[in-house]
Amino acid sequence: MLKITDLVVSYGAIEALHGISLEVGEGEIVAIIGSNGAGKSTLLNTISGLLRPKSGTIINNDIPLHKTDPNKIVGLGISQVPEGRRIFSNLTVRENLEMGAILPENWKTFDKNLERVHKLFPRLQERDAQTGGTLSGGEQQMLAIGRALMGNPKLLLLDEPSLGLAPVLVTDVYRVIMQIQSSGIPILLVEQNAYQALKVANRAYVLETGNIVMGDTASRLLANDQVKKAYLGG
Amino acid sequence: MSWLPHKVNLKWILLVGSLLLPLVVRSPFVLHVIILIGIYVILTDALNFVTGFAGQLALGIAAFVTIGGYTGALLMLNNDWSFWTALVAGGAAGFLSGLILGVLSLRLRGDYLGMVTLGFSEIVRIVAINLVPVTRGPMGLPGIPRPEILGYLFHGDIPYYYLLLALIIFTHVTIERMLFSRFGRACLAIRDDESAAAAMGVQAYQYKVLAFCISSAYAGLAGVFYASWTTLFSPDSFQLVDSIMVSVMNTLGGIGSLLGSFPGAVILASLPEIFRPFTTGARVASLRLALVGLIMLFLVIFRPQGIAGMSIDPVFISLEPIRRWFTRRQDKVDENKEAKQ
Repeated sequence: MLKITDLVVSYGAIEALHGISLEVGEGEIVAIIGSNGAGKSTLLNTISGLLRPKSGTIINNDIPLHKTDPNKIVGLGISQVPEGRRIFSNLTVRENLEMGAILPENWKTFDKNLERVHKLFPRLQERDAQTGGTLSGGEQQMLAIGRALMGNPKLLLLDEPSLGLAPVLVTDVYRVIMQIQSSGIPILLVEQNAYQALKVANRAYVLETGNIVMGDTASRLLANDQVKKAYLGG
Repeated sequence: MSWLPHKVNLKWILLVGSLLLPLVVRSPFVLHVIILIGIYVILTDALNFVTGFAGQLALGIAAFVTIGGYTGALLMLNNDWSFWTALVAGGAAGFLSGLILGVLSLRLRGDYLGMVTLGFSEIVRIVAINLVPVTRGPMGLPGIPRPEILGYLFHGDIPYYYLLLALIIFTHVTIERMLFSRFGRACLAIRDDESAAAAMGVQAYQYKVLAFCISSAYAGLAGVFYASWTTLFSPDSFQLVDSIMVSVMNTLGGIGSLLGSFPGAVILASLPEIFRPFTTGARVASLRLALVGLIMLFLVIFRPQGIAGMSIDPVFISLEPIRRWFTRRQDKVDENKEAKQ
């Protein structure tokens, strides 16, 4: 599946990722946990092709992504749910979902995917003609995930899905994330809410100022003293 | 009463109204002003495509009208092209010059893009003034031929009015079709959040360039029409102040609306003519600018989204009052019948 080797990414002179390596296997949820500024979003944006790595490789199913344009990467089935949701606030819910299927190959399967998204999020069907900006935070997060599912993803990148949501909504969002996994789509999940992420993930990596300092199964990380102290509040 | 629908799309009312307009308007002066308004409708639509739908601030639309106008006029005068082929060539010239400027400048965002387009517009005007062997400079190109269709040579404003109406319909139908296509959706998404659109797989830069080219092509068409209608085209035909007026019309009508170009162009292009009897000469121009300022002042206070807002949904006019009136009359007839019996 997705294999990242020695990835170095920098913003001008400042290096954000200092050569990290990780893997996402078939049907897995892999979590990246870490504090603010650890480089989590940088990693996802590099996989999506929005940032170019300085060195290192990103290989997905034998196709190198590190030299590919963002639109082609979306075409390969790698959809990102960006941090802070980034929905199109002046477009309606349906138009937002259309945006997720904007590539010609995905445009054809729009109706089929729309049905799937509506089944997953009945609330989005009710809000069909409402503009994105008028939705609540939780609904916007659902819309952002639904939009990513419209692109026939073979790998889903989730950036901070719990950010700014009420605890009850966080549970809802995570329930959907597990549903998506059970339909066979592997997920790379980036999260500050380490406890939530480790609960649903199969494996996880700890990212600290641009380096991966730990990588293990999620259950073992949950029990790890260092992780407990640094990310789970003791 | 089944033959009368409950509501009707505003665009059909506009269409029927504009088809019948020359039958009502008898004054040549008024018809002349109406044609001028129509040209502004096309230009506002063109600008709205790139500013309202794709979200790119462009301030130099006069440049593309000038390029289209000169291209069409020169081809008709020097190469004996017919009006119709020159019209297509003018649109193509607008598209190509839009491509050149767009490729160079659309990596810029916001105000910077506005400044580049403004500068380009001045460059085009200065080139037109100084390229005397081709453009005859400030004297302009006189004697531009009129269109001919099936042996009928256009004369007077009425055929020009219908030709312009056809161009407006063409502009509106094509813009509407594009807006509800994949391309249009992508443009709206770029306007809302360019980075998020890129994350969806939209090639934002290419789409912005294409939207800019299409907008410039409409401006080029309008330029050829204007050249043939006035039979004279000069560097002063469309200048900076016209670009600004089109921007203001777009803002007044509603940036990103589908029908806002009509109220925007009608109000701002007709006001100075309405006030013409009260002033003379140069005062008209200064009065117009003062009025524009006043209107914009009220606009930002009371309706900052413009008259038509940002709506791209069809506008429906209810016909219920007319239906009720008919029903009442019918009831009366029935009553009379009963009374007779």
